[in-house]
Amino acid sequence: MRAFAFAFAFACALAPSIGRAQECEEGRERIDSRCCWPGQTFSAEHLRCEGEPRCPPELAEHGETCVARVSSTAPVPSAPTTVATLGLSAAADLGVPEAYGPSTRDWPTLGEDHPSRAARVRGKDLGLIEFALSIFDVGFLFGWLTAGLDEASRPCAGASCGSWPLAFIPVAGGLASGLAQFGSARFRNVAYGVIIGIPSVILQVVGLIAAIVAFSGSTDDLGFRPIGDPHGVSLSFVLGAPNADAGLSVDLRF
Amino acid sequence: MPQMPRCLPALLFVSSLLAGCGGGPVLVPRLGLGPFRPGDSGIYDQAVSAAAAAGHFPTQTDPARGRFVLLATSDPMREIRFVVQCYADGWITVSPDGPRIEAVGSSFRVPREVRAEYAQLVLGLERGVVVVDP
Repeated sequence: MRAFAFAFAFACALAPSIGRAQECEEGRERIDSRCCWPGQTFSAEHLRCEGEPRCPPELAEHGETCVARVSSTAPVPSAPTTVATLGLSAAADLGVPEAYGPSTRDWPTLGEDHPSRAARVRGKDLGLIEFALSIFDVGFLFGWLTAGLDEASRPCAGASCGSWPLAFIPVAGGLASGLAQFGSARFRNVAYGVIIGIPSVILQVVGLIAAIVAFSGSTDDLGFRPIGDPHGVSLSFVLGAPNADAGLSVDLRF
Repeated sequence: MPQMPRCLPALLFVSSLLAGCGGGPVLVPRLGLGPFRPGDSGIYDQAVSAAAAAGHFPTQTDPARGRFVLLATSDPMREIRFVVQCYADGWITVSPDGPRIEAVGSSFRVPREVRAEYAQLVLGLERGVVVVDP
């Protein structure tokens, strides 16, 4: 069972960073297991592809990336900041509209399958909540560590003192499992109880305080809502929460 | 003190690990904007402009089919793309695409780090694509 638990912990830690080795799109190639343009290297420090790219013939070099080349005579902006100031004429400068033509004849139709829209919503800072609960978890693990070391030392006449279940008590459990007296030997494991148990208490208290602060405050986040939602005031409970796999949200709309 | 089942500590340990596994993929709906004037091909140009202004330059364009592709910069593996599709009935949709994207009905399961960029891209398109009344 313990082996399974440790395997699970490693799987949780590694899963997000493991990607399937697949071909890269648009002529990019896999460099250090990332998709970069030919001629580039992947910077582990900046987490991006760096260097002058060697673009495929159908693409044009643009800074450290390659962009679509629609018209061979159309210029490509020299820097993203230039394009950002171009407004509605940016597509023309990218060589987009003249070559595209005005027809929407071959465009698909969406019908009634309307998408959702992105929106800024106000809610709880889940990152801070996760951070606070992680600190609490580490403190809780310290409590178990205290109990585990206490058990391993078999202090009560060469046997367990039976104080390990106290480690499951939040906040003070680790300290209690080290200092509690059980059995005929009436032994206090002060060393483990104080050296590991007190940090366990401190971490759990800090985690709890941070969680209270996180739950009581609010922050802006990006959310989603169906297009065409009626305006007006409505209150609803929605399954799911921003930035989470599962949860329950209260949705107040004006 | 009564004896606890021997597997109880391991079960509690696994539960605490489950609580800490919050870094996985998240479910997001398909996003888009509109409707604009049906048959207006100008939304394509405006969408490309708006994406460029938001720092996303198309790596594939297919104006005949109203489609262009952008790279997701938040993906550490540099494999995920956003497919922008313009529709003849005036809609624009943005769909994530790539090896770690899973379609779930009309939604997508995407890596957590891509979620914010996905939403911000659509917000950027909303700022750049203007409604033109007929």
